[in-house]
Amino acid sequence: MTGSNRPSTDEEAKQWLAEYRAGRVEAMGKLVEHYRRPLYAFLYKMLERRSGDADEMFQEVWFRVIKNVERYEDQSFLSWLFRIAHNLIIDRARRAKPMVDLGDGGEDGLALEERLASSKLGPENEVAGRDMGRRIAAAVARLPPEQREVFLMRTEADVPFKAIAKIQKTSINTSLARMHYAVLKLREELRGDYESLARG
Amino acid sequence: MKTDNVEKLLLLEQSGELGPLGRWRLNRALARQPDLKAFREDLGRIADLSRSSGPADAPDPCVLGAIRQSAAGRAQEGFGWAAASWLRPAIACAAILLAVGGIALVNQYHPGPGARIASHAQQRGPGWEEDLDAQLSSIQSLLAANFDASGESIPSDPNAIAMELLGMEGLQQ
Repeated sequence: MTGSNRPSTDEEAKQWLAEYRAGRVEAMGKLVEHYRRPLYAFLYKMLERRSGDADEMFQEVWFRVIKNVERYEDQSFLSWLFRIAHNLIIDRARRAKPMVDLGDGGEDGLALEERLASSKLGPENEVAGRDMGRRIAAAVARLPPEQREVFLMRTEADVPFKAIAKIQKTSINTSLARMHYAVLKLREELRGDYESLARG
Repeated sequence: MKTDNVEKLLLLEQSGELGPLGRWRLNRALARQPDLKAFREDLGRIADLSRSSGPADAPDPCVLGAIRQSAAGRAQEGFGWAAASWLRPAIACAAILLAVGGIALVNQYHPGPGARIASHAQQRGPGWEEDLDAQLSSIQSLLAANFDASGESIPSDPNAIAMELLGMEGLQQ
């Protein structure tokens, strides 16, 4: 999971943040550009590949960063950024269904966020033919939201499990188990595809 | 080792969070169960496939423009606390110094049972402090459980513990 798009290190991010706080606006531009691809890909895939929603959320995440820049302390910037994104996704899901009980879960035993975020892809996004990209996108979208979130944080942004556990307010073992289930499910769903890929 | 556990170790290995002991255990497990290497390969393949599934281009340039504008506006407002970032640690240090000074002042006029034990220890000669340490240590370990065998609560306040010790020595006033 070492995509070329992954942020190299938090050190640069901290440096840019310090420069921005010292009044150099262009440093914030560098920061946004550095995390643009992983953050946007994460949001896009968490929000059922709706680019309008992902754009809006991407903007909101950075507005929060800018607004709270003074509160940032010496922690991992990557973790902070994705914690903001995680919180905004949860808020959005709650706003979308205000009349639904926010307690332990509904009749199906799933939490609200889970029911909302686990909704199926629209017909326009359904798997078509042998398009591998679409097939995996559909398979990822079918994952339960907690598993999908861990999977996307790991694959798109290389967020460590320790940080994911903090973001999801759970144990490292739980975040590991979520990733494990996600990989097993995707492996099962795509078995035919990647076996042929491995052969070809 | 169970297959699930080895696979979780593989996940940690890929995230760079596996320590030397974990690596050693993983290598041993992989040597015994070579088919688990397939999981490692699938993990990389699935991640690559997922990453390649888009989005191709994003976000909208207008979004980036709005962020730039917001950043410029915020910088223009200035960063009050950031500029005075030394102020918070300074306030914390001052508070600690005040608290320590206050405690020292109170103890000077009202020596607690701890001070009386120390003065008694001086009269008793060497050996007493070691006994005291041992007693305190055993009380502290009992405190970890919070209750003794009879279910009676053990005090957690150091002064209360000291009073008990004085009582044991017949020095309580």
